[in-house]
Amino acid sequence: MKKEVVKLNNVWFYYDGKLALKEVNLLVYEKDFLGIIGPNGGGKTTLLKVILGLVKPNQGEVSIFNLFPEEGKKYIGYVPQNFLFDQDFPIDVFNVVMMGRYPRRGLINRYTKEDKKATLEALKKVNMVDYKDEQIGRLSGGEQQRVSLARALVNNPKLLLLDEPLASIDAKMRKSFYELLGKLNEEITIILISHDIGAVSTYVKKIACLNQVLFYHGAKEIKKEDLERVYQCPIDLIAHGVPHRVLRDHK
Amino acid sequence: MITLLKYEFIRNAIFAGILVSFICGIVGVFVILKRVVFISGGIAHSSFGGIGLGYLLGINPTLTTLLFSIISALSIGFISKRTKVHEDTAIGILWAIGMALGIVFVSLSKGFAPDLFGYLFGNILAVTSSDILLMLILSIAIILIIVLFFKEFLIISFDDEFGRVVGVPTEFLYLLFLCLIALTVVILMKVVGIILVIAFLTIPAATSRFLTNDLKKMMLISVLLGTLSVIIGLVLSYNFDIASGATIVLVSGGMFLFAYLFKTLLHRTTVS
Repeated sequence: MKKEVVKLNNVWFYYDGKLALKEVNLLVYEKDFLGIIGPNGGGKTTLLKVILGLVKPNQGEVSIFNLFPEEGKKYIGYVPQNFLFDQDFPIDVFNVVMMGRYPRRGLINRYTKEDKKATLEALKKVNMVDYKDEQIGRLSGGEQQRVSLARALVNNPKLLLLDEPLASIDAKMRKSFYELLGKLNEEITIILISHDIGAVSTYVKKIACLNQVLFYHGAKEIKKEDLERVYQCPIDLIAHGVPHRVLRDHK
Repeated sequence: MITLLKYEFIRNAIFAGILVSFICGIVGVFVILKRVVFISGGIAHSSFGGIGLGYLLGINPTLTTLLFSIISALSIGFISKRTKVHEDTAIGILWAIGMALGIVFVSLSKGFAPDLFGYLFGNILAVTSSDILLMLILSIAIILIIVLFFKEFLIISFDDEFGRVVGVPTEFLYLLFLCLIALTVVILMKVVGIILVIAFLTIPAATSRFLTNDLKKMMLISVLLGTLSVIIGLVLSYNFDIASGATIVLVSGGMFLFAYLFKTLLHRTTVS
Protein backbone atom coordinates (compact mmCIF):
# COMPACT_ATOMS: atom_id res chain seq x y z
CA MET A 1 0.00 0.00 0.00
CA LYS A 2 1.16 3.47 -0.86
CA LYS A 3 2.23 5.78 1.92
CA GLU A 4 0.08 8.77 2.76
CA VAL A 5 2.03 12.00 2.47
CA VAL A 6 -0.61 14.69 2.99
CA LYS A 7 -3.99 14.06 4.53
CA LEU A 8 -6.57 16.80 5.03
CA ASN A 9 -9.81 15.78 6.64
CA ASN A 10 -12.78 18.16 6.51
CA VAL A 11 -10.62 21.29 6.74
CA TRP A 12 -12.29 24.67 7.12
CA PHE A 13 -10.41 27.91 7.28
CA TYR A 14 -11.58 31.46 7.79
CA TYR A 15 -9.26 34.30 6.90
CA ASP A 16 -10.26 37.51 8.70
CA GLY A 17 -13.74 36.11 9.16
CA LYS A 18 -14.01 35.32 5.45
CA LEU A 19 -14.33 31.75 4.31
CA ALA A 20 -11.17 30.65 2.51
CA LEU A 21 -11.33 26.86 2.63
CA LYS A 22 -14.57 24.90 2.86
CA GLU A 23 -14.75 21.24 3.75
CA VAL A 24 -11.48 20.37 2.10
CA ASN A 25 -10.53 16.72 1.92
CA LEU A 26 -7.28 15.76 0.28
CA LEU A 27 -5.20 12.65 0.21
CA VAL A 28 -1.80 12.75 -1.46
CA TYR A 29 0.25 9.59 -1.76
CA GLU A 30 3.94 9.01 -2.04
CA LYS A 31 5.40 10.03 -5.42
CA ASP A 32 2.25 11.77 -6.55
CA PHE A 33 2.71 14.84 -8.72
CA LEU A 34 -0.38 16.86 -7.94
CA GLY A 35 -1.28 20.13 -9.62
CA ILE A 36 -3.79 22.28 -7.78
CA ILE A 37 -5.41 24.89 -9.97
CA GLY A 38 -7.93 27.54 -9.19
CA PRO A 39 -8.62 31.24 -9.56
CA ASN A 40 -6.65 33.87 -7.69
CA GLY A 41 -8.10 34.34 -4.24
CA GLY A 42 -9.50 30.84 -4.32
CA GLY A 43 -7.55 29.72 -1.28
CA LYS A 44 -4.57 28.07 -2.97
CA THR A 45 -1.91 29.83 -0.92
CA THR A 46 -3.98 29.33 2.23
CA LEU A 47 -4.05 25.62 1.51
CA LEU A 48 -0.26 25.60 1.22
CA LYS A 49 0.02 27.48 4.49
CA VAL A 50 -2.20 24.88 6.16
CA ILE A 51 0.00 22.08 4.83
CA LEU A 52 3.14 23.92 5.97
CA GLY A 53 1.65 24.36 9.44
CA LEU A 54 1.94 28.15 9.18
CA VAL A 55 -1.76 28.52 9.96
CA LYS A 56 -4.07 26.24 11.87
CA PRO A 57 -7.43 25.41 10.31
CA ASN A 58 -10.54 26.47 12.24
CA GLN A 59 -11.86 22.97 11.85
CA GLY A 60 -10.61 19.65 10.56
CA GLU A 61 -7.42 17.62 10.73
CA VAL A 62 -4.17 17.89 8.88
CA SER A 63 -1.45 15.30 8.90
CA ILE A 64 1.83 15.32 7.03
CA PHE A 65 3.56 11.93 6.85
CA ASN A 66 1.13 10.92 9.61
CA LEU A 67 2.53 13.67 11.83
CA PHE A 68 1.19 17.02 12.97
CA PRO A 69 2.15 19.73 10.45
CA GLU A 70 4.56 21.34 12.94
CA GLU A 71 6.50 18.06 13.02
CA GLY A 72 5.90 16.99 9.46
CA LYS A 73 7.01 20.23 7.88
CA LYS A 74 10.67 19.37 8.30
CA TYR A 75 10.19 16.88 5.48
CA ILE A 76 8.79 19.59 3.22
CA GLY A 77 10.74 21.68 0.74
CA TYR A 78 8.97 24.91 -0.12
CA VAL A 79 9.33 26.99 -3.28
CA PRO A 80 7.51 30.28 -2.65
CA GLN A 81 5.70 32.36 -5.22
CA ASN A 82 8.00 35.34 -4.75
CA PHE A 83 11.60 34.45 -4.45
CA LEU A 84 13.69 37.56 -4.75
CA PHE A 85 12.22 40.75 -3.35
CA ASP A 86 15.27 42.90 -3.81
CA GLN A 87 17.27 42.33 -6.99
CA ASP A 88 20.29 44.10 -5.49
CA PHE A 89 20.43 42.07 -2.30
CA PRO A 90 24.12 41.48 -1.61
CA ILE A 91 24.22 37.70 -1.44
CA ASP A 92 25.51 34.98 -3.71
CA VAL A 93 23.67 31.90 -4.94
CA PHE A 94 25.52 29.54 -2.61
CA ASN A 95 24.49 31.39 0.54
CA VAL A 96 20.88 31.64 -0.61
CA VAL A 97 20.67 27.89 -1.04
CA MET A 98 22.38 27.22 2.28
CA MET A 99 19.55 29.06 4.06
CA GLY A 100 17.46 25.99 3.38
CA ARG A 101 19.64 24.09 5.87
CA TYR A 102 18.39 26.23 8.74
CA PRO A 103 16.10 23.55 10.21
CA ARG A 104 19.13 21.27 10.72
CA ARG A 105 21.04 23.90 12.65
CA GLY A 106 18.53 26.03 14.50
CA LEU A 107 19.22 29.29 16.29
CA ILE A 108 22.77 30.61 16.67
CA ASN A 109 24.62 27.49 15.47
CA ARG A 110 26.82 28.02 12.42
CA TYR A 111 26.45 26.12 9.19
CA THR A 112 28.77 23.11 9.02
CA LYS A 113 30.84 21.42 6.32
CA GLU A 114 27.97 19.02 5.86
CA ASP A 115 25.67 21.95 5.07
CA LYS A 116 28.13 23.24 2.49
CA LYS A 117 28.34 19.81 0.89
CA ALA A 118 24.56 19.52 0.80
CA THR A 119 24.36 22.99 -0.76
CA LEU A 120 26.69 21.99 -3.58
CA GLU A 121 24.73 18.80 -4.16
CA ALA A 122 21.44 20.69 -4.33
CA LEU A 123 22.96 23.11 -6.83
CA LYS A 124 24.12 20.15 -8.90
CA LYS A 125 20.62 18.69 -8.93
CA VAL A 126 19.27 21.85 -10.56
CA ASN A 127 22.31 22.38 -12.81
CA MET A 128 23.30 25.64 -11.16
CA VAL A 129 26.67 24.72 -9.66
CA ASP A 130 28.54 27.00 -12.07
CA TYR A 131 26.60 29.97 -10.78
CA LYS A 132 27.30 29.44 -7.09
CA ASP A 133 29.36 32.61 -6.63
CA GLU A 134 27.09 34.87 -8.69
CA GLN A 135 25.11 37.58 -6.99
CA ILE A 136 21.55 36.27 -6.99
CA GLY A 137 20.00 39.32 -8.67
CA ARG A 138 22.17 38.93 -11.77
CA LEU A 139 20.51 35.65 -12.69
CA SER A 140 17.56 35.42 -15.08
CA GLY A 141 14.07 34.61 -13.80
CA GLY A 142 14.40 30.97 -14.78
CA GLU A 143 17.81 30.62 -13.15
CA GLN A 144 16.52 32.23 -9.97
CA GLN A 145 13.66 29.74 -9.96
CA ARG A 146 16.19 26.92 -10.07
CA VAL A 147 18.07 28.42 -7.16
CA SER A 148 14.82 28.66 -5.24
CA LEU A 149 14.23 25.00 -6.03
CA ALA A 150 17.75 24.12 -4.85
CA ARG A 151 17.08 25.95 -1.58
CA ALA A 152 14.01 23.75 -1.11
CA LEU A 153 15.95 20.59 -2.02
CA VAL A 154 18.98 21.23 0.15
CA ASN A 155 17.29 19.75 3.19
CA ASN A 156 16.49 16.49 1.33
CA PRO A 157 12.72 16.89 1.54
CA LYS A 158 10.27 14.07 0.86
CA LEU A 159 7.59 16.48 -0.27
CA LEU A 160 8.04 19.50 -2.48
CA LEU A 161 5.51 22.35 -2.44
CA LEU A 162 5.61 24.89 -5.23
CA ASP A 163 3.52 28.06 -5.21
CA GLU A 164 2.99 29.49 -8.72
CA PRO A 165 6.55 28.59 -9.72
CA LEU A 166 6.19 29.62 -13.32
CA ALA A 167 4.74 33.08 -13.09
CA SER A 168 7.85 34.85 -14.29
CA ILE A 169 9.40 32.30 -16.61
CA ASP A 170 9.26 32.11 -20.39
CA ALA A 171 7.94 29.04 -22.19
CA LYS A 172 11.31 27.45 -22.93
CA MET A 173 12.49 27.76 -19.34
CA ARG A 174 9.15 26.44 -18.22
CA LYS A 175 9.62 23.24 -20.18
CA SER A 176 13.05 22.50 -18.77
CA PHE A 177 11.86 23.39 -15.26
CA TYR A 178 9.00 20.90 -15.57
CA GLU A 179 11.34 18.25 -16.91
CA LEU A 180 13.52 18.80 -13.89
CA LEU A 181 10.49 18.43 -11.60
CA GLY A 182 9.54 15.26 -13.45
CA LYS A 183 12.98 13.82 -12.72
CA LEU A 184 12.81 14.83 -9.06
CA ASN A 185 9.39 13.23 -8.88
CA GLU A 186 11.02 9.81 -9.27
CA GLU A 187 11.91 10.15 -5.61
CA ILE A 188 9.94 13.06 -4.18
CA THR A 189 6.23 13.75 -3.90
CA ILE A 190 5.32 17.08 -5.50
CA ILE A 191 2.39 19.44 -5.03
CA LEU A 192 2.29 22.44 -7.34
CA ILE A 193 -0.27 25.20 -7.30
CA SER A 194 -1.06 27.54 -10.17
CA HIS A 195 -3.86 29.66 -11.53
CA ASP A 196 -2.86 28.67 -15.02
CA ILE A 197 -4.59 25.48 -16.15
CA GLY A 198 -2.61 25.20 -19.35
CA ALA A 199 0.76 25.51 -17.66
CA VAL A 200 0.08 22.73 -15.23
CA SER A 201 -1.80 20.23 -17.33
CA THR A 202 0.93 18.73 -19.46
CA TYR A 203 3.32 17.60 -16.80
CA VAL A 204 1.52 16.70 -13.57
CA LYS A 205 0.11 13.26 -12.84
CA LYS A 206 -3.00 14.40 -11.02
CA ILE A 207 -5.06 17.55 -10.90
CA ALA A 208 -7.28 19.12 -8.27
CA CYS A 209 -9.33 22.31 -8.54
CA LEU A 210 -9.72 24.71 -5.66
CA ASN A 211 -12.04 27.60 -5.10
CA GLN A 212 -12.78 27.39 -1.39
CA VAL A 213 -14.08 23.91 -2.14
CA LEU A 214 -11.59 21.34 -3.44
CA PHE A 215 -12.52 19.08 -6.33
CA TYR A 216 -10.24 16.10 -6.50
CA HIS A 217 -10.83 12.61 -7.73
CA GLY A 218 -7.31 11.30 -7.38
CA ALA A 219 -6.85 11.44 -11.12
CA LYS A 220 -5.78 13.68 -13.93
CA GLU A 221 -9.29 14.21 -15.19
CA ILE A 222 -11.44 17.05 -14.09
CA LYS A 223 -15.10 17.24 -14.88
CA LYS A 224 -16.01 20.28 -16.93
CA GLU A 225 -18.78 21.06 -14.41
CA ASP A 226 -16.26 21.06 -11.57
CA LEU A 227 -14.00 23.45 -13.40
CA GLU A 228 -16.86 25.75 -14.21
CA ARG A 229 -17.97 25.73 -10.61
CA VAL A 230 -14.45 26.52 -9.54
CA TYR A 231 -13.95 29.37 -11.96
CA GLN A 232 -17.60 30.38 -11.87
CA CYS A 233 -17.85 30.90 -15.57
CA PRO A 234 -18.05 28.61 -18.59
CA ILE A 235 -14.60 27.51 -19.56
CA ASP A 236 -13.54 26.70 -23.06
CA LEU A 237 -11.34 23.72 -22.57
CA ILE A 238 -8.97 22.29 -25.04
CA ALA A 239 -10.52 18.90 -24.65
CA HIS A 240 -10.06 17.59 -28.18
CA GLY A 241 -13.47 16.08 -28.54
CA VAL A 242 -13.69 14.59 -25.11
CA PRO A 243 -16.24 16.87 -23.53
CA HIS A 244 -16.21 15.56 -19.99
CA ARG A 245 -12.74 14.18 -19.71
CA VAL A 246 -10.51 17.12 -20.09
CA LEU A 247 -6.82 17.71 -19.72
CA ARG A 248 -6.03 14.15 -20.54
CA ASP A 249 -3.85 12.92 -23.37
CA HIS A 250 -3.31 16.52 -24.19
CA LYS A 251 0.13 17.08 -25.57
CA MET B 1 45.08 67.92 12.33
CA ILE B 2 48.06 67.09 14.58
CA THR B 3 47.54 70.21 16.67
CA LEU B 4 43.90 69.28 16.98
CA LEU B 5 44.83 65.96 18.57
CA LYS B 6 46.37 67.79 21.55
CA TYR B 7 42.92 68.42 22.95
CA GLU B 8 41.26 65.65 24.93
CA PHE B 9 37.81 66.61 23.67
CA ILE B 10 39.02 66.22 20.08
CA ARG B 11 40.52 62.82 20.83
CA ASN B 12 37.26 61.82 22.52
CA ALA B 13 35.31 63.13 19.55
CA ILE B 14 37.35 61.10 17.08
CA PHE B 15 37.17 57.97 19.18
CA ALA B 16 33.42 58.40 19.62
CA GLY B 17 33.07 58.97 15.89
CA ILE B 18 34.94 55.78 15.08
CA LEU B 19 32.79 53.80 17.52
CA VAL B 20 29.66 55.24 15.96
CA SER B 21 30.88 54.44 12.46
CA PHE B 22 31.69 50.92 13.50
CA ILE B 23 28.26 50.26 14.98
CA CYS B 24 26.41 52.00 12.16
CA GLY B 25 28.40 50.24 9.51
CA ILE B 26 27.16 46.94 10.82
CA VAL B 27 23.64 47.71 12.06
CA GLY B 28 23.01 50.13 9.19
CA VAL B 29 23.59 47.45 6.56
CA PHE B 30 20.69 45.44 8.00
CA VAL B 31 18.64 48.63 8.42
CA ILE B 32 19.01 49.24 4.69
CA LEU B 33 18.43 45.63 3.66
CA LYS B 34 15.47 45.09 5.96
CA ARG B 35 14.13 48.49 4.90
CA VAL B 36 13.55 49.81 8.38
CA VAL B 37 15.04 53.25 7.86
CA PHE B 38 11.85 54.97 8.91
CA ILE B 39 11.33 52.69 11.84
CA SER B 40 14.78 53.80 12.96
CA GLY B 41 13.65 57.38 12.49
CA GLY B 42 10.56 56.74 14.57
CA ILE B 43 12.51 55.06 17.36
CA ALA B 44 15.05 57.88 17.33
CA HIS B 45 12.50 60.66 17.55
CA SER B 46 10.23 59.02 20.08
CA SER B 47 13.21 58.47 22.36
CA PHE B 48 13.21 62.24 22.80
CA GLY B 49 10.57 61.50 25.43
CA GLY B 50 13.28 59.68 27.36
CA ILE B 51 15.52 62.73 27.42
CA GLY B 52 12.68 64.86 28.80
CA LEU B 53 11.93 62.24 31.42
CA GLY B 54 15.56 62.20 32.49
CA TYR B 55 15.47 65.95 33.07
CA LEU B 56 12.18 65.73 34.91
CA LEU B 57 13.43 63.03 37.27
CA GLY B 58 16.86 64.55 37.58
CA ILE B 59 18.68 61.36 36.50
CA ASN B 60 21.11 60.64 33.66
CA PRO B 61 19.06 61.06 30.47
CA THR B 62 21.00 58.26 28.77
CA LEU B 63 19.32 55.71 31.04
CA THR B 64 15.80 57.04 30.52
CA THR B 65 16.42 57.34 26.80
CA LEU B 66 17.56 53.74 26.68
CA LEU B 67 14.31 52.72 28.36
CA PHE B 68 12.22 54.92 26.10
CA SER B 69 13.83 53.82 22.87
CA ILE B 70 13.50 50.13 23.74
CA ILE B 71 9.83 50.62 24.61
CA SER B 72 9.14 52.47 21.38
CA ALA B 73 11.05 49.86 19.34
CA LEU B 74 9.02 47.04 20.87
CA SER B 75 5.78 48.98 20.44
CA ILE B 76 6.37 49.68 16.76
CA GLY B 77 7.30 46.05 16.17
CA PHE B 78 4.40 44.69 18.16
CA ILE B 79 1.79 47.02 16.68
CA SER B 80 2.88 46.36 13.11
CA LYS B 81 3.13 42.58 13.48
CA ARG B 82 0.18 41.82 15.73
CA THR B 83 -2.47 44.44 15.06
CA LYS B 84 -4.14 45.71 11.94
CA VAL B 85 -2.44 49.08 12.25
CA HIS B 86 0.02 49.57 9.40
CA GLU B 87 3.68 49.85 10.22
CA ASP B 88 4.05 53.39 8.92
CA THR B 89 1.00 54.47 10.91
CA ALA B 90 2.53 53.01 14.07
CA ILE B 91 5.76 54.85 13.31
CA GLY B 92 3.98 58.18 12.83
CA ILE B 93 2.01 57.85 16.04
CA LEU B 94 4.95 56.88 18.23
CA TRP B 95 7.18 59.45 16.58
CA ALA B 96 4.80 62.28 17.46
CA ILE B 97 3.82 61.04 20.91
CA GLY B 98 7.42 60.47 21.95
CA MET B 99 8.48 63.96 20.97
CA ALA B 100 5.40 65.52 22.55
CA LEU B 101 6.14 63.67 25.79
CA GLY B 102 9.68 64.99 25.67
CA ILE B 103 8.45 68.57 25.38
CA VAL B 104 5.89 68.08 28.17
CA PHE B 105 8.47 66.51 30.50
CA VAL B 106 10.96 69.28 29.86
CA SER B 107 8.39 72.02 30.50
CA LEU B 108 7.30 70.25 33.69
CA SER B 109 10.83 70.15 35.04
CA LYS B 110 11.73 73.20 37.13
CA GLY B 111 15.35 73.54 36.18
CA PHE B 112 16.94 74.83 33.02
CA ALA B 113 17.82 72.19 30.47
CA PRO B 114 21.11 73.39 29.04
CA ASP B 115 22.13 70.20 27.20
CA LEU B 116 18.88 69.71 25.38
CA PHE B 117 20.08 71.30 22.21
CA GLY B 118 23.01 68.92 22.33
CA TYR B 119 20.72 65.91 22.37
CA LEU B 120 18.63 67.20 19.52
CA PHE B 121 21.39 68.18 17.17
CA GLY B 122 24.32 66.43 18.76
CA ASN B 123 27.60 67.69 20.03
CA ILE B 124 30.41 65.30 19.36
CA LEU B 125 32.83 67.75 20.97
CA ALA B 126 31.04 67.39 24.31
CA VAL B 127 31.53 63.62 24.56
CA THR B 128 33.05 62.69 27.93
CA SER B 129 35.16 59.69 28.86
CA SER B 130 32.25 58.12 30.74
CA ASP B 131 30.10 58.52 27.61
CA ILE B 132 32.76 56.64 25.69
CA LEU B 133 32.82 53.86 28.25
CA LEU B 134 29.05 53.46 27.99
CA MET B 135 29.28 53.50 24.20
CA LEU B 136 31.97 50.87 24.31
CA ILE B 137 29.87 48.55 26.47
CA LEU B 138 26.80 48.99 24.28
CA SER B 139 28.83 48.48 21.11
CA ILE B 140 30.16 45.19 22.40
CA ALA B 141 26.62 44.08 23.21
CA ILE B 142 25.42 45.00 19.73
CA ILE B 143 28.32 43.32 17.96
CA LEU B 144 27.84 40.18 20.04
CA ILE B 145 24.16 39.95 19.11
CA ILE B 146 24.86 40.55 15.42
CA VAL B 147 27.60 37.92 15.37
CA LEU B 148 25.43 35.38 17.20
CA PHE B 149 22.37 35.88 15.02
CA PHE B 150 24.06 36.77 11.72
CA LYS B 151 22.66 33.71 9.96
CA GLU B 152 19.14 34.48 11.17
CA PHE B 153 19.27 38.21 10.41
CA LEU B 154 20.42 37.35 6.92
CA ILE B 155 17.45 35.03 6.41
CA ILE B 156 14.82 37.46 7.70
CA SER B 157 16.30 40.31 5.67
CA PHE B 158 16.38 38.23 2.53
CA ASP B 159 12.99 36.54 2.83
CA ASP B 160 10.98 36.74 6.04
CA GLU B 161 8.28 34.39 4.80
CA PHE B 162 10.77 31.67 3.91
CA GLY B 163 12.30 32.14 7.34
CA ARG B 164 8.96 31.43 8.92
CA VAL B 165 8.54 28.30 6.83
CA VAL B 166 11.90 26.85 7.85
CA GLY B 167 11.19 27.63 11.50
CA VAL B 168 13.21 30.79 12.12
CA PRO B 169 11.61 32.71 15.04
CA THR B 170 11.15 35.71 12.76
CA GLU B 171 9.05 37.82 15.09
CA PHE B 172 11.44 37.45 18.01
CA LEU B 173 14.39 38.31 15.76
CA TYR B 174 12.59 41.30 14.29
CA LEU B 175 11.91 42.70 17.76
CA LEU B 176 15.48 41.93 18.78
CA PHE B 177 16.73 43.81 15.75
CA LEU B 178 14.53 46.81 16.54
CA CYS B 179 15.98 46.78 20.06
CA LEU B 180 19.44 46.81 18.49
CA ILE B 181 18.42 49.89 16.55
CA ALA B 182 17.15 51.42 19.79
CA LEU B 183 20.52 50.74 21.46
CA THR B 184 22.26 52.25 18.47
CA VAL B 185 20.06 55.33 18.70
CA VAL B 186 21.06 55.85 22.31
CA ILE B 187 24.71 55.54 21.41
CA LEU B 188 24.46 57.92 18.48
CA MET B 189 22.32 60.49 20.24
CA LYS B 190 25.14 62.33 21.92
CA VAL B 191 27.35 62.27 18.90
CA VAL B 192 25.17 63.42 16.04
CA GLY B 193 21.86 64.02 17.81
CA ILE B 194 18.48 62.43 17.38
CA ILE B 195 17.64 64.40 14.27
CA LEU B 196 20.68 63.09 12.46
CA VAL B 197 20.81 59.55 13.85
CA ILE B 198 18.75 58.35 10.96
CA ALA B 199 21.27 59.80 8.54
CA PHE B 200 24.17 58.00 10.15
CA LEU B 201 22.33 54.70 10.25
CA THR B 202 21.40 55.06 6.59
CA ILE B 203 23.95 56.94 4.52
CA PRO B 204 27.20 54.97 4.98
CA ALA B 205 25.41 51.63 4.47
CA ALA B 206 23.47 52.96 1.48
CA THR B 207 26.68 54.30 -0.03
CA SER B 208 28.52 51.03 0.43
CA ARG B 209 25.75 49.30 -1.45
CA PHE B 210 26.79 51.06 -4.61
CA LEU B 211 30.30 49.78 -4.21
CA THR B 212 29.94 46.05 -3.52
CA ASN B 213 27.62 43.08 -3.82
CA ASP B 214 29.07 41.26 -0.84
CA LEU B 215 27.34 41.67 2.51
CA LYS B 216 30.46 41.48 4.68
CA LYS B 217 32.38 43.84 2.41
CA MET B 218 29.38 46.15 2.54
CA MET B 219 29.74 46.29 6.31
CA LEU B 220 33.46 46.90 6.12
CA ILE B 221 33.11 49.66 3.53
CA SER B 222 30.34 51.34 5.42
CA VAL B 223 32.45 51.35 8.61
CA LEU B 224 35.31 52.94 6.68
CA LEU B 225 33.08 55.52 5.03
CA GLY B 226 31.54 56.45 8.36
CA THR B 227 34.95 56.89 9.99
CA LEU B 228 36.20 58.92 7.07
CA SER B 229 33.21 61.25 7.19
CA VAL B 230 33.66 61.74 10.93
CA ILE B 231 37.29 62.76 10.51
CA ILE B 232 36.74 64.96 7.45
CA GLY B 233 33.65 66.47 9.05
CA LEU B 234 35.49 67.28 12.28
CA VAL B 235 38.37 68.96 10.47
CA LEU B 236 35.97 71.00 8.33
CA SER B 237 33.80 72.00 11.28
CA TYR B 238 36.91 73.11 13.23
CA ASN B 239 38.35 75.12 10.36
CA PHE B 240 35.13 76.83 9.35
CA ASP B 241 33.64 76.98 12.84
CA ILE B 242 30.38 75.23 11.94
CA ALA B 243 28.30 72.65 13.85
CA SER B 244 30.24 69.37 13.95
CA GLY B 245 27.37 66.84 13.83
CA ALA B 246 25.72 68.51 10.86
CA THR B 247 29.04 68.81 9.01
CA ILE B 248 29.77 65.12 9.47
CA VAL B 249 26.39 64.19 8.05
CA LEU B 250 26.80 66.52 5.08
CA VAL B 251 30.19 64.98 4.31
CA SER B 252 28.57 61.57 4.50
CA GLY B 253 25.76 62.73 2.21
CA GLY B 254 28.34 64.05 -0.24
CA MET B 255 29.97 60.62 -0.33
CA PHE B 256 26.63 59.03 -1.10
CA LEU B 257 26.06 61.39 -4.00
CA PHE B 258 29.57 60.82 -5.28
CA ALA B 259 29.21 57.02 -5.09
CA TYR B 260 25.85 57.19 -6.80
CA LEU B 261 27.20 59.27 -9.68
CA PHE B 262 30.27 57.06 -9.92
CA LYS B 263 28.15 53.93 -10.13
CA THR B 264 25.72 55.44 -12.64
CA LEU B 265 28.50 56.67 -14.90
CA LEU B 266 30.30 53.35 -14.65
CA HIS B 267 27.10 51.55 -15.54
CA ARG B 268 26.53 53.83 -18.54
CA THR B 269 30.01 53.24 -19.90
CA THR B 270 29.77 49.47 -19.51
CA VAL B 271 26.36 49.41 -21.18
CA SER B 272 27.24 51.61 -24.15
